[in-house]
Amino acid sequence: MKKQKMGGREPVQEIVSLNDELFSFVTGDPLAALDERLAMVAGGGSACETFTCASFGGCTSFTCGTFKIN
Amino acid sequence: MLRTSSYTIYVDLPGNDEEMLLVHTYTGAFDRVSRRVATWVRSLEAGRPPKPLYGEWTPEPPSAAGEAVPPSEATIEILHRRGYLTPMSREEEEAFFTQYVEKLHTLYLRRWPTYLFMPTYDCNLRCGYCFQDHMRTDGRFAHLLRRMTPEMADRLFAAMPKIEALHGIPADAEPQVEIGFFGGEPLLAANRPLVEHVIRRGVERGKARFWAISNGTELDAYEDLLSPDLLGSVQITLDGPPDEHDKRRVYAGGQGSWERIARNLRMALDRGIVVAVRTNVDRTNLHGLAALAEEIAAQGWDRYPNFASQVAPIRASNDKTDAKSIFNTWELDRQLTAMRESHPAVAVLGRQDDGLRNQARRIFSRRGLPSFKPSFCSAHTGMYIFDPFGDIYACWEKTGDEKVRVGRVDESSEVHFNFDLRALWQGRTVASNPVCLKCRYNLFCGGGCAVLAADRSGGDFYRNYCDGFAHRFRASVAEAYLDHVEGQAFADKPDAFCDL
Repeated sequence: MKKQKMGGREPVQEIVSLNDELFSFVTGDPLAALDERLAMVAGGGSACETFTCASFGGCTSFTCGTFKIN
Repeated sequence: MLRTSSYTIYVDLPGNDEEMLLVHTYTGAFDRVSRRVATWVRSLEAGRPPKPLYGEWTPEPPSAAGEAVPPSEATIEILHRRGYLTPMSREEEEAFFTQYVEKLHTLYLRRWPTYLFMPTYDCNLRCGYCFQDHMRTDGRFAHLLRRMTPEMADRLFAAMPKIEALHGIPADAEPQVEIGFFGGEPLLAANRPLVEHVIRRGVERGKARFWAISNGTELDAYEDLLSPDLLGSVQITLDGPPDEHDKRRVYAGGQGSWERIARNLRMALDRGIVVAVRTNVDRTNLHGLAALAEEIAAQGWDRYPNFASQVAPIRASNDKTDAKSIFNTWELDRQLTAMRESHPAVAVLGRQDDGLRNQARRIFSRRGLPSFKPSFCSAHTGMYIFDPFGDIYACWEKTGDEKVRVGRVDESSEVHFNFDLRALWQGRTVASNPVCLKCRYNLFCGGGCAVLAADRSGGDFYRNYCDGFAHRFRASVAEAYLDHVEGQAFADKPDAFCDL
């Protein structure tokens, strides 16, 4: 198994967020955020950028960024 | 008073005894924390996670030794904000999660449907493990071996807006057509007029994308249709190097199929379409994977950016397949990972969990977001499979038996749904399944395959099918993180056609 490079050993931090930007897209109540998104697609728009996403036969959404919630 | 969310995942980092990763299922947070913080978070769990009544359950990694010491107030605030700590009781959080999943699932249901056309149930190969083997070998199913007519295809196209209306899509919305071909063998040369007709009709409808799951033996009959704008992606199966493949992927007369497939595969790559090679593996052909990898390199296929590979476990879905010979997904992943150590060329073969690893790499490199799968696959959202008789099915594993069809299209293109069955498929989410509701991995897993869950549980559709997912998720995220930290190259490859 690979080992992490620990050269110049730094003190271990309590927490380091690896995808904090996710939490900057939508703030507040996640259920309300989903309601907003549902309202956005109610007019016939697509909830998913299917054609920009790399999956087939059932988009799994992580490449198209449909669901950004907090 | 805060407690630890029931949907907190702890990921060990091999070679690092001071830190680990925390992942939160429904907020999608990924964080690196000190072991001390992780131990404290775990100390606030409200009892042990409940064991399921059935299925596999993977234990969490052990807690660090020693007393649980609270971190700083600032860290506690971050842990709260990112979902690991919650003021909700377990029951309140499950109720919240249920609402969350229902809304998320509704979003999925409002997407444009995906249509699969089955030009025929017939196939020119007789592979021993095929789940449709009985259709070609048992005379009682001979009536199925008809070809779809262009008139039937027209009838199905006329029915599409009625299906789309059920997903809340207005009649005047610009169509986004996604059409797959499946069989039997959909791309038999004899099916060409029908397939061409479907593609033409799809293009006439609007923005369209086409793909096929094919054995590749007669792909040369479709050469001019293979283009990123037309038939843009094909999955082709190779079950080992030529000798091994020719024992398993055989014609009715017993002849092997490697040579024709290899020729067609090269042609498809040259045409610029995505070619995803699938290799179905059990304990009897595992030994051939290194030779297959060398053959792929020798052919130069892996140098095409539009080439992808995935190794998948064979399922015991007919009585010719020995249940003792099969792997589950986690076992096969471990076998392949070990093989990569001794045969580096095997790295060209994609592991089934590479999608999970790629998802994590995208997150760590800030190029993507978590997937959030409220259900396992599009059989539970908007996939409609049309067979040659105008019958509609939700899942390709369950086609050919009109007792399980979810609907049919009549001569006037009217759609007659069995709404109870349709609701059964489209209602299966990680919240409607009582075991998955309590699982901390649920929105990454989606609950597992419904067909396999029902087979294992004696027919209950709303059961979990774990397939080693907890192990697989933690190992994939840890590997992706270590690769990210080490700056290992990362290239997005096309995802698999099916997670099975």
